[in-house]
Amino acid sequence: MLHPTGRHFGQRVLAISTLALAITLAVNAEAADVDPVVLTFSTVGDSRQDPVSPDGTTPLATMSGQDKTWLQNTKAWARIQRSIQAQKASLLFFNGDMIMGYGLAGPTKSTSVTDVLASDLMAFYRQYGFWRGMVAPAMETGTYIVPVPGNHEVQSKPLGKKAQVENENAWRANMGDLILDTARFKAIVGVDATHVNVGNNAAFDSLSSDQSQLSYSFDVGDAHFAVVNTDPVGNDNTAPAAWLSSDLSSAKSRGAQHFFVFGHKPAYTYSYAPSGAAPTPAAGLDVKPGPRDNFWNVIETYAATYFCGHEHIFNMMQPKGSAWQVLVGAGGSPFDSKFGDPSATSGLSPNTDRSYSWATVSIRKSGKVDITAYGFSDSYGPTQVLKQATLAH
Amino acid sequence: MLRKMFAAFAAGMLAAAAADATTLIDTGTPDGSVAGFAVDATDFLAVEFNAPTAWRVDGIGAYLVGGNPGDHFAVSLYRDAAGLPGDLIASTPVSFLADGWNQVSLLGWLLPGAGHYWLGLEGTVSETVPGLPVPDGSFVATAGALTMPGATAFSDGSYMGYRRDASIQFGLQVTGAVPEPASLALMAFGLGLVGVASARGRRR
Repeated sequence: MLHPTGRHFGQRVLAISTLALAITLAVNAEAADVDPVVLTFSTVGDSRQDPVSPDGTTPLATMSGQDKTWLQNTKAWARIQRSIQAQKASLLFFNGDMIMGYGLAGPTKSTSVTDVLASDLMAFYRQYGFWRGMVAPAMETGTYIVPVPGNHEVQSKPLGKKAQVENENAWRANMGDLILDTARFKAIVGVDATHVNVGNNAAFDSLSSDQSQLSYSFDVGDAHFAVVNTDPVGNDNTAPAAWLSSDLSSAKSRGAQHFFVFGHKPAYTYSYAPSGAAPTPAAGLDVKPGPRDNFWNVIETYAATYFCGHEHIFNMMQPKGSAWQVLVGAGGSPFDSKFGDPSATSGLSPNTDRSYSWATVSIRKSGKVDITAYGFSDSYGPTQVLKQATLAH
Repeated sequence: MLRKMFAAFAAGMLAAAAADATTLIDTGTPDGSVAGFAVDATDFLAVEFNAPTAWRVDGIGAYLVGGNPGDHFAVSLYRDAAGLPGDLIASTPVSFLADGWNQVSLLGWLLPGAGHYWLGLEGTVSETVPGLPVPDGSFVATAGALTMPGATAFSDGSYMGYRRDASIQFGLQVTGAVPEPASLALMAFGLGLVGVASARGRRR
């Protein structure tokens, strides 16, 4: 039994502790309610390795046997995923070129084991399988993977860098379960994906092949997400602007407040050449300026943000001074700004040109949207904040 | 009455011993000219410092931006091991309140002796606290006879642990005391008196 004085002392301590706890909880509750984040997503692209011309700092001779076989930059891509998960991203949009591909995922020369193993079809499926294995842990720990087709998935280089129906089919065979498993989405993200549109919308842009699960869209709350295939069969280097316009219009009419569009190729090529040198040749949708302008007009009309890859480099720009193009194509593939090149060493180009990079976007309750780009250098230094932008609501 | 006077005297002894609290490290407030580095559940930053004597670390402040109010990060004190953070001496969570200086106080961490140590900023909850802009200048101590700028290191969550990297700069403030032998004796004496007072109270 406690001495009375001790009991009084204990009561005072208890009362003071309770008061302190209440104040702490109140302060924390007030602080937490300032403008909470309602949804966080990340985006990156281009993790595939190159068997012929790997990055200068990671020559093929030093690539691991694993990466030589499955053609991934495992070290960079795994680290990016670690950080994205630490940032509590509920969604990860991967903007294409997750595999080397670039062949024809069609019939094999013969049914012999040797020919099957040597076939492009086998290479596609093998590389897809490795990439899916790399992202599987993210799906099990709170981050839903949303894939975006890139030119290495849908085009064949030997066939003139043209998209192929066989490759579009291989895309659906290897990524289709993610586009979109609404039950799994709800379990991972915690909220429903609604107004899911993954069907064949090719007719909007007079496309010849089935575009189901290649260009698609869905809502999460008042945010609308659209994925565009920038290399559809018969119309390479174009985005389905007509479908996108209709899709964003529908989303807006049902109350969407935020519009995020993901594609592989940039609408505006980022020139990483140093000042005074010839600019980087057009490598994205700007190969066809007319269709590109149609696409960008849609982006501007809906104050959307366009996330892309293809160029293995980081850049954020506002081509027309309003909507952002966020280029996060340095997910592990050989940098476009080559080691030792003037663009990388002159000091005239941003020191982020050779940074593995991604962007994380937070939508706040107030409607404010924060875009933060992160990256680490080609020597795998500390993770830096490369650029931040806030979208006005 | 006598017990109250006794307790007050003991408290006075402790207060006198703690009265020499001072700034041990102060990098200055970052100017925001550079976005900075990420601190989250996998990305850690650390800075080495040289304590010329057995410091007592009372408060630590880190200049952070971009976190969510209510998030936590940790400050950790390590022994130096071949130029990198070694054995952990102490660690405590700090609540992120707002952009700017986020501080923790009343630590009372006693360094075992003079030598090289590391202070790490580490995410304890999986939330991002990005953006540690470059301070005005570099790691410059305003007190404590430090060997600064100190070395810096980072961890990216891989098996390699902390790695040195000279490029890291971030805002850091450390307050505490450089106890002299007399102060240490006074503190020990004060603590002893508190213990005696407490024991007498329990016996009654």
